[in-house]
Amino acid sequence: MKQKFPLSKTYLPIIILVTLLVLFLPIYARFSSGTPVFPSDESYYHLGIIKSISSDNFNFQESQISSFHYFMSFLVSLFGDSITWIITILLGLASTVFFFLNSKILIKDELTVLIATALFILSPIFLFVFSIFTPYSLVLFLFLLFVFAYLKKSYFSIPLLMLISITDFSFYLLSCLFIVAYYFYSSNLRFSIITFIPSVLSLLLFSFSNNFLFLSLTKATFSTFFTSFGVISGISFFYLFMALLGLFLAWSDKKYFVHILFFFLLIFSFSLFNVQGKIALNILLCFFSAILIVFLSKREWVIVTIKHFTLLLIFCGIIFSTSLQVNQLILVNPTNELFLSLDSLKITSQNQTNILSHPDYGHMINYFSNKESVFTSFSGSDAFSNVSNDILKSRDLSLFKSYLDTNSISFILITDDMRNGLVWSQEDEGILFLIKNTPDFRKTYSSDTVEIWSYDLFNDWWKEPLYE
Amino acid sequence: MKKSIAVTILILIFLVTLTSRLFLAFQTPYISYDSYDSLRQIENINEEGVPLFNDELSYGGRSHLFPPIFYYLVSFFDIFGSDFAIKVIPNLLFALIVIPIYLISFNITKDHLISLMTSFFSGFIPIFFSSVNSLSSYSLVAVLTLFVIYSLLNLNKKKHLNLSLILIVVFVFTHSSVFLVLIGLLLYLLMLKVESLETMAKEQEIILFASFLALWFNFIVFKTAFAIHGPLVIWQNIPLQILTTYFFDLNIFQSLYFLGLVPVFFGIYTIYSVMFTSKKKSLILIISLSLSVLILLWAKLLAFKVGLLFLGLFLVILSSHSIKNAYSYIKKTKVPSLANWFLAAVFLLFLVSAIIPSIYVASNSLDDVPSQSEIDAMLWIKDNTPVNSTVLARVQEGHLITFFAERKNVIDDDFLMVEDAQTRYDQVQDIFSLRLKNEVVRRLTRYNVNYIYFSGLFGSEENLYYVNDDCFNLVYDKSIKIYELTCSLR
Repeated sequence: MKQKFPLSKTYLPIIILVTLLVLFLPIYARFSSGTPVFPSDESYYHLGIIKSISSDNFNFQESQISSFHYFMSFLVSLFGDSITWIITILLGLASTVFFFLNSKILIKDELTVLIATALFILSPIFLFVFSIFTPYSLVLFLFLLFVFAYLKKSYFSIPLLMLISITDFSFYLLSCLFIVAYYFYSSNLRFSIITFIPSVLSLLLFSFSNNFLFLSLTKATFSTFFTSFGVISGISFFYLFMALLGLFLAWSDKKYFVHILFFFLLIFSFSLFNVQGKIALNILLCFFSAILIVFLSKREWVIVTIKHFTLLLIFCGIIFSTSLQVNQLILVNPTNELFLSLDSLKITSQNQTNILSHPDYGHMINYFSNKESVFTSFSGSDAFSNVSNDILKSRDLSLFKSYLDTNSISFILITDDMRNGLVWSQEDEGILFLIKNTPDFRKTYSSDTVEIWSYDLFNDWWKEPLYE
Repeated sequence: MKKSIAVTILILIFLVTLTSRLFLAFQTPYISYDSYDSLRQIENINEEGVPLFNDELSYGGRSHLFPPIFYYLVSFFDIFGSDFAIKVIPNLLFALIVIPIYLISFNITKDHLISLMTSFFSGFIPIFFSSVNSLSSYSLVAVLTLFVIYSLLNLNKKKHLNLSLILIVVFVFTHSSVFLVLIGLLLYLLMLKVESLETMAKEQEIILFASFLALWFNFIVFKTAFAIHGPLVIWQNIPLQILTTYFFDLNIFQSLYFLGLVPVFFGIYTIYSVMFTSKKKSLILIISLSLSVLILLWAKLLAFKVGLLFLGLFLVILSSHSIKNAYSYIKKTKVPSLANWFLAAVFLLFLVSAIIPSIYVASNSLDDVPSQSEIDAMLWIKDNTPVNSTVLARVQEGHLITFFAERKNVIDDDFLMVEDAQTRYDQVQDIFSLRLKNEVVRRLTRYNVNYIYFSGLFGSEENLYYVNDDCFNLVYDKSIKIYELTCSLR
């Protein structure tokens, strides 16, 4: 019998409106303060690829390219740069709708579906995926669309899984995991295999023709797991806590509890190493948290007074997580000052020179200044660590100059974060003393938080500072 | 035993505990080095009505984050005199624990004599005497923890239900160690589920409410600290070198020494018997709380002394069950008269194994206070140095600089919200051991230091190596030396 959802007609438009509001909030705040719309260095890595994908000198071997980049590059060539953030928001909106539709199929209770969807929209990970420019936005949408098609037993799920396989390998693994998990529930082996096999072929074909990143596993660290630790790609601790309690409630479902627990732990372990894992875990957290909230609101409380307080605390906790994430996305780099400093470098004719800075700024430097950063966050962190210890923290001028000459570096970008712990922790430590007291170095840009120093590699024409 | 007699004995136990603590506390007019920070907070509440969240003297200017209820409580009693508030209130709170321990033990054993014995044991656990001279918020935390447990064990009565709600809210607003209790309570629900025992709806509701309240409140209070330090907030951003002395592995011999032989032996036996034979809900609750302490100690998420303090409370309660069982067993044997001898033997064993360590721990605690010569030196700084000058001292002496001398310090032992805590700690430690004058002056200039306070009490250095050169003017020369920095390095 078809499930009836009378509340959905009223609430779905509200959900869509809230989604738009939540996604527009960081964009509007950044835009109105003159800051580049997309936060995070990662956005500029992908924007950089799209910008250069059509150029002749694009190096396919050095970049981690996926179908997302081809797709966006095609759209940018048709509609211009501003299509990037419109598409990101549209993908967010579509993902919300498919999350809702999937929840309707998987969960029979309407209130749980609505709350799970609300939690999904307000989750920090959702904001992260659809506020920065990343392939995760496309692949999450494809994943939810694939799940929807698969749950409907539509053969449309086959091309979708193939598309996922050439967009993000981690999500491909998660999709396969979903097929296995759903098999325990539906026992439809034939459909599972028919969906799975073509995707393996597409994955292999794409991997041969592109330098496709299989698994971007990082070292598991607790410090990058939660948003409250200042990480924009983190999980909300409040969500995790609610979900664990929700999981505890699922214990009563003796038939499937072991399976649920197994897949939860598997995805949880995956999420410790990988952003895609956190995105998948977030979906589970939304479901289990919704189960808890519905349980608490429907339960007949013995102490009625604390029922309202508890639900209010939960509401406050959710809003608190969301507002914290919105705030982080508004304040995160590139700031207006960093953008202006990098933009100032565009006017120099030295396109062949490199810029030395922390890897966290690498892709932003490449994108905004039209020059090459020596280190980037995707590839240069280990190398930078060595250079930082051996050269940047040392006061050996000849060693430093020799390093700059060897790497054709004529600009050094220094931010307040670098001075306060990211690279140095003391005033005038290492090269900070050298650049201040050596005539070879000249401050060419200075603002409250950013400085650019030029090095006389082969120039005599930096006579005056460009900005002060 | 009649109830009235039990109450009289309980009051006597409370008075004996309080008197012995106060006797030890008043052996010195001062309090432990770290307590002077709390004293400043209390003074600020008395003067301005609010704690010192923005401190201009500590670290040359920083902000503090803490829930302030304990400081308000002590400052309220300041009307009876500052000595009363500082010395009596924390010790009164610690002595008060004998009452909830008696009530909980009686709830478990239904035996006045054994409950009174347990109550006496709790008053003389050696680890509790380490704080005899401290203005420690754990005094309030310990009492709150025990009353919360007691009220949770009696939720069927309406007055206990309301009491538990009030106590939990106060506890959440008092100290973040409420999480230790909450983890224990959540473990309790899990253990009941595993053992297929029925849980009371009221219990579930109160535990859920408390968990969400604690999470929400602590995220609000420590939001900035989380963003600055990340997970290091759990360890209060303490520098590595000090961290190793705060958080270390649980050692059975140290536990016996700090907790006493009787609570450890009988407490562990109760855990064993409850796990494998009798499934008593009240005992499962206490075991869950002990388990949460052990897990947090094992994961080094809880300072060793704090962990032992909680473990001491829980093991004492648990020991009452085993003592009662052994007592009842002996009574059923052919020599029932031996039962009372057994209790006497246990009591004697406790006296031997706990009272002597208690005295030793208390005397150590009395040594952990500043001497008159240190205070004199501090007062000299207050009277003879410019108001906005900065004084460098060891980390342990940092609060003395801000409290007595009323001058800026470079470092003290409150590291939360200090972004360069590790660097500062390293540099300050180095300043006392370095031989190169230039390097010392460079570091002193960096922290705008005007005076160096050298007591020689902390660290291995007996003298500063560089002070005979120019740049350092000896302005106070007694057992404590104070040097004025007369030059700077650009």
